Amino acid sequence: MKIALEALNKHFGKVKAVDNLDLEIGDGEFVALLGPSGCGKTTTLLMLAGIYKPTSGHICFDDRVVNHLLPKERNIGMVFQSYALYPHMTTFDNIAYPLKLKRVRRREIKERVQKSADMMGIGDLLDRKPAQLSGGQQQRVALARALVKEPAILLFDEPLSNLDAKLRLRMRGEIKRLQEDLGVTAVYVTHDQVEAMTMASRIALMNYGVLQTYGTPNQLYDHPDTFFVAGFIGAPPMNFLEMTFEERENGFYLKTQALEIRISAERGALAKQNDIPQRVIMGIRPESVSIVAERDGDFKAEVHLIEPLGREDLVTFRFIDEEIRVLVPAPFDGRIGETICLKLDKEKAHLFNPETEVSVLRTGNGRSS
Amino acid sequence: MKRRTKKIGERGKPPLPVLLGTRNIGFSRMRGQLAPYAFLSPTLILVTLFFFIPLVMVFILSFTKLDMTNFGILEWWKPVNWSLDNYVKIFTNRFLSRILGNTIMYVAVTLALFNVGMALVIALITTHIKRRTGFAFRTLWFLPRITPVVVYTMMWRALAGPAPMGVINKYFLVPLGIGGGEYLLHTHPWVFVFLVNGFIGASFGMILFASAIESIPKDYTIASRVDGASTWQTIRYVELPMIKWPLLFVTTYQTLSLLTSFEQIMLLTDGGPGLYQTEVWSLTAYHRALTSYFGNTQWGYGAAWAVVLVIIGIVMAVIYLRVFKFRELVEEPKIDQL
Repeated sequence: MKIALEALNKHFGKVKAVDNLDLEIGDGEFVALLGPSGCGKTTTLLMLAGIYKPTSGHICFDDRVVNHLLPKERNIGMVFQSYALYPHMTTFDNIAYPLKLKRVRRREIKERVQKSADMMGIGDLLDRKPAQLSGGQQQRVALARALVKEPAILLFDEPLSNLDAKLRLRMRGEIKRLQEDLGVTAVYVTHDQVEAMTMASRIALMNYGVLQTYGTPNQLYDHPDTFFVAGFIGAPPMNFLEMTFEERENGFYLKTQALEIRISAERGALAKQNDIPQRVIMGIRPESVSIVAERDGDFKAEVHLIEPLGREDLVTFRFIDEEIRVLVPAPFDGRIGETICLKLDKEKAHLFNPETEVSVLRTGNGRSS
Repeated sequence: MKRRTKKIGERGKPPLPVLLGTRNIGFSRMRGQLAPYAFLSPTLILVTLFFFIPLVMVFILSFTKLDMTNFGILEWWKPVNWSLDNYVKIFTNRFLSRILGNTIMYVAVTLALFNVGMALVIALITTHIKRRTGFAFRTLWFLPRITPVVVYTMMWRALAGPAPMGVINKYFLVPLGIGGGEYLLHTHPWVFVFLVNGFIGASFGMILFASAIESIPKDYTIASRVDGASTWQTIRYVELPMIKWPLLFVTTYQTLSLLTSFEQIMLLTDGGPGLYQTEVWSLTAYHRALTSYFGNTQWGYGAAWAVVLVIIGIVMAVIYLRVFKFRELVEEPKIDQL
């Protein structure tokens, strides 16, 4: 089922929880609503579920406005962070609950509950109460309950946040695979950008109730539209340096006290076209900086901190009063206090207007290059 | 209880024996073991003086013929003077079935219609409307409970008065052509016994149920609605099972307090207006023991009525714990293993 949100607003008193949201989700697509807590992503989800009524705007399922439909008329399944399994019911009764409410015949209920429980690998736990299940098992019961009525849309509200790291990784894969197998449209709320990146076909990044950007994980990672997107997506996060933009006879330059880099004529022209101010914020991901021999380097910096991550080491360098974090292949053989030469991959640098926080490298279609 | 105090005693040991020196260890250990009893002593003394001793005394008194006429003469504490005569008297009393019937009716009707029934209805309604409105309504409903019981009961007597003084007669019944404006406590005493007790009684359950309902995490009700439940179905299948504990508590507690409550009935009808028409068990115990009935005050006989009531109360409590499967309610969840 396709979902379209048109100029959707939800206000609680004076607080604009969701502010003029436009979003289209294709049939069978897996979309993540990503953002820090309080950004309006759960409010959006609850509007999709029919729990909250929008203040204004439209919610359409397959071109049909569903604003006025009750939750039970929307054919949705939902999975919660707390699992929300009814504690007084057994696993069987929990999964059977949506069917019981639909007055499905008893025999059919039994078959369908067994089928979805088997699909989730909890077929042998049907007579247990939620308190007798582990977190991972509870999560599977919650999924089975959401799936048993064969919903057209699956809603997830941070479903993996209460699981331990290892189990979270496994469930991540399982949910994604399940969604692909069933071909059901899924909306997944999370504050964890890794979860959003790995699972979703598209990510809607929100902040303060406003949609910041909507695109594929790679678009968001490689071509962030705004300063917020650039800072939110990616772990370890992007480095930001305040720089001065200068156009000289022989090209375009970015300058600080410590370093001066030349950017390509093409990118410089694009930036100029987008009214680049003199003071800009340059963003560069930790993997776009490399350690080089002295004559090839852009600048020198002192090793301040080394954090081994296994495959790579995350090294924090200091120069003058700036800091930059760099991913280098492990093992990093430098010592703390040592001065080392660094080089930036200029084609991967992002430039943002500090006033509007918008990328000055965006092309005509709104996507930055 | 015993084990717990011991545990506290062990934990009460000072953790610095080295600083105290070896000589002091014995003393400090003793002090550590005595400390919990010292803290418990005020309560223990009060409970012993005002609960335990009277309980034993009432139990002993119930086997004696102590009354106002032989007070100071009868040595009631001597087993020689004990007999089962009072109990025989109770169970051969020709009004026993009436008093027992009255008590059962009084407790059952007030409990079902008001103390649990109406309390639950009000709690459910006030938690499913606007929060502030619900809170205001519950506060209003709570007023009879904090009104002095005599004032409150007298107010009901005035309400029930004959036309043209009684408000109910003058403004409701007479204009509607119901009844002839008689004193309603004479024509329908039971209705008023239920109402007077019920309006106070319902507020207790209402507060407990409302707070229990409000503390149910929102996820459950959202989940239920997404699963396809109507508001009523969510209440029936999710909210009510989750407030089983306060339901058990209110039912048990209110049964016991209704069994022993008589002050409103005493002030309202004093067991009348007909012979033993609204007399309940606890009122009988009071009448026998503490009012000058047939010229004396039969402390021993009244105590026997009270003891039987205590036994009825204990039996009821045990039945409730069985019916509500108390053991299951307190079952500890298994440790979460991933």
